[in-house]
Amino acid sequence: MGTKLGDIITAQTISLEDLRDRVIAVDAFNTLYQFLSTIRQPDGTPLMDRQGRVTSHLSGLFYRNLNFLEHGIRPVYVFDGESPVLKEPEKERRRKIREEARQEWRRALEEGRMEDARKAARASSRLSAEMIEESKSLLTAMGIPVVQAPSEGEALAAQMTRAGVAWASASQDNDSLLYNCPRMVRNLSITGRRRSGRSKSYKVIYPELIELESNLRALGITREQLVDIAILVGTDYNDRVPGIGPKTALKLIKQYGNLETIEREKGIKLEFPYQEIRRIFLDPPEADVPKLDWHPPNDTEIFKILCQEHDFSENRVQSALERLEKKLQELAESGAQSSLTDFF
Amino acid sequence: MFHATLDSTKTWKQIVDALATLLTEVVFIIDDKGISLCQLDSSKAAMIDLSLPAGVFQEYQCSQEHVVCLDTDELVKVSKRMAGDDHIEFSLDDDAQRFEIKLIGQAERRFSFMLLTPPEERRSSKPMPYDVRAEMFTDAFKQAIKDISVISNHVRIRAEEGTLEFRGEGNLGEAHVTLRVGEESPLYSLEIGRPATAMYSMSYLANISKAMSSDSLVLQFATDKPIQMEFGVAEGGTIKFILAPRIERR
Repeated sequence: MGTKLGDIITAQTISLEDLRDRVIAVDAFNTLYQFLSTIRQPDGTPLMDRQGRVTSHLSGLFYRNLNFLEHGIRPVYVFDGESPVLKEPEKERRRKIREEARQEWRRALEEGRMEDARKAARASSRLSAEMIEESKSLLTAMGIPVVQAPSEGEALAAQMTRAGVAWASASQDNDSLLYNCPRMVRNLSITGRRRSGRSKSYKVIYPELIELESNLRALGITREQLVDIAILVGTDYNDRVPGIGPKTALKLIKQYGNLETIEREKGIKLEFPYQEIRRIFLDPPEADVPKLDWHPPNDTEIFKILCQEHDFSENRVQSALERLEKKLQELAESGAQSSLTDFF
Repeated sequence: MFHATLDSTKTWKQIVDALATLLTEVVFIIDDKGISLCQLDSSKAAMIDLSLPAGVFQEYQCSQEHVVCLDTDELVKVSKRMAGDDHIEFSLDDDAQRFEIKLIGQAERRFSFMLLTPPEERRSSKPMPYDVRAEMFTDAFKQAIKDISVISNHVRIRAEEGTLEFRGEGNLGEAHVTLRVGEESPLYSLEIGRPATAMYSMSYLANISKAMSSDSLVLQFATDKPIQMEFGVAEGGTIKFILAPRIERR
């Protein structure tokens, strides 16, 4: 998903404490898919309520946001709207992968190949309209604002960060940078660990901060050129150019300046409407950013969604909410970090 | 054209350590008067203001102003390679594209760095009306910060009537450190225009206090205003850290 620029982008390791009092615009779909794919039993079965409805996304959202709120972070979730038409082939491709993964999961289970089953199950994660609505209700009950983007959520998150409404956008892929997001945060995970590949071992994962301007300066390119690099490497809207990875793309763009010149000078034919793809990143539809409000969590509503509707343990939800209340009390007493620019 | 020498690697290490507490990129302004730097950290909560007049260096020549932007990590790595009895030579190459650090000891070692494009905005620290000015031994300040950090993630500093108090509250309880001004006391001067109290983040203060390399320290603050911590480096150089307060939530 998104664009693979990891090799040329540098990130700074941070901790959740560094994000205290900051508004973080979270890419909702990206986050929900992560929960759906990772919160599973060893054989790949997701969490489910008594009626067999998947609840991995609710569990993930609840506990991760408790953790954010306990750290004094103010999350706002940005939901994708209608995606650009150019994304259709990619969406179709993902649908197919999910369908194949679903079948492979069934086969692997029958043949008792647990590790394969788990892997296939993760790839088969589907996000239904109902899950999206439930997620929005849960967030609202937790007092966390939800924003609907006209098109790609990351574009709006970037716009909000540029406007200073949010401090950074949070997503696992680098598209935020392409949308001119000054700051993005990766790996905002609750557990701080991620399975590395198929191995049984876990790798410790820390949140990372990526700043657009310092990266562009270090690479010696403009954002327009970063978008051109992304297009060469492959985005959600076009396939990669064979034989070109991030480093080669960077070299080409630094040498030739832009895609037009590369086509002309290098004789590489780009078989997709790259000017249109550029516009998706450089000129996304702007939206009115609503005023964001955070409220104290509505315990009754949270119980209704999690415990009554979806059979979460009342005791566990209860004690988690009590802990949150205590932490919020402590946070309120310790004040908020001001900025030096407020003083001169 | 720029060329300077420094015969103490210890001084340079102290400077680089101080810069590294807040900055991922350093922007030196180099001119005929010396080297200076004034930058906010990425969250804009803290600032470091460094002044190294030409006199700090044994040799110093600079014909025009240069803005030299470098990656902090690289500077740290090189400073770790310095031996105690090395001499350091700094220079810019002719077209001011690379910054060079030469270490002259048993061998002659040369590190040359690519210059990064400096940010457009240039900062300067404005003098602020602080109500309290305290002079103390740096170690007393470091110990006070360590004591409070046992209990709390933030410290409230209060000054009134000859005492400077550090206080922290946490889940486990409270911690107090009180210093009374006096000749025998590590707090040897305390000027109070108006009693003041303000709260500051422990994570910043812990890092900043670790980078304090001189014996004494001048601390200035006012109620709910930034705190400035100033100390000397080599002969005539100064490092100031300025940290914005934590303010009650509205």
